[in-house]
Amino acid sequence: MKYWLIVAACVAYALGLLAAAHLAPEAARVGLFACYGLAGAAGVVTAFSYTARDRLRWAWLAFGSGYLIAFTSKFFIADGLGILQMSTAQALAWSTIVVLFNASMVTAFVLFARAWSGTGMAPAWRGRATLVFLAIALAVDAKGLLTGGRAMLAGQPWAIGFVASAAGDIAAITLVGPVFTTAIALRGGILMRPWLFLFVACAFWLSDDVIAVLPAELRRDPDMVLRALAILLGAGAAVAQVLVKRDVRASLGDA
Amino acid sequence: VAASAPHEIVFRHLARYLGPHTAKTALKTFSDKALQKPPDQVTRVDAPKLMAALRPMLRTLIGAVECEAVLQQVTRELSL
Repeated sequence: MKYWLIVAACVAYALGLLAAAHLAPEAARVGLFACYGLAGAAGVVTAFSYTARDRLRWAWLAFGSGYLIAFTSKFFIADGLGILQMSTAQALAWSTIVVLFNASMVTAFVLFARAWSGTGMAPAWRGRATLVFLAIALAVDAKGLLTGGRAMLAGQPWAIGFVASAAGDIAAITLVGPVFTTAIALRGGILMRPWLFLFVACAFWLSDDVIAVLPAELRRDPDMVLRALAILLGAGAAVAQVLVKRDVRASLGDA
Repeated sequence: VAASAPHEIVFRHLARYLGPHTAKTALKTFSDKALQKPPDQVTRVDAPKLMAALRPMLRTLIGAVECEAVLQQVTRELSL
């Protein structure tokens, strides 16, 4: 029940942002940026529910740090949607933040993807799922990577962030493969819940990448909802992980 | 009422967290690796070795503190 409440809260917030985008655009912008802060805080809190020897502590810490970096940049620099209007200094600062954000997220997903390493077993089709998601990642982001690469060679300061974003997306989408196989492998068990949240959050990020082909005016509304759901369900994954740990302790009391 | 076999007790705990499919695979994989025998031949004397083999996986997925609590609970139920 509590996990469904998390989903309902995420959907309600995203739809609220969509309504606000038409009624009070500035409030919607701040509301969307707040999602990054929420996901960052949730990731860091979840990280510290593990001990320093636990691999998932570092995965959640990188995940939370990435979102906190993005949250800070949204308020102090600008949203990436306006990169062509940025000054050179602003574009360089934005690019630096995007590099840091993507480095954190890729680190997080490498650690999530390696959750089974050294445990003595792993889902059988993890490798095949990774290849399928690599193909999806290249189909969605290869063009952006090439465009950004050409702009970077032409000396455009915003292109560094653009390339980092596209490369980070390709790496992160590829690593969704192992996250997906982990969620499927754990089906029927309470540990599946955070992995499923994480996978669905990634699916919304992927959908948001796909709609980048649409003209800006058509993309604005779906981007608001998909981006909010991607970030909030990522926060939901972190919260679900803490709740699952509580459920494990509670189940021992019941036994 | 007949007491549950050791592998059934371990399976019941693992299935709650990992789901029945991965619990069954884990039990089979680790009884084979640690004890070189199928799960239904695991005795109470074998159980500590089996739990030691399961520890890295459980520690990674649920965290060190919860993993030790789960293994202690299994140990209690096996009356070791």
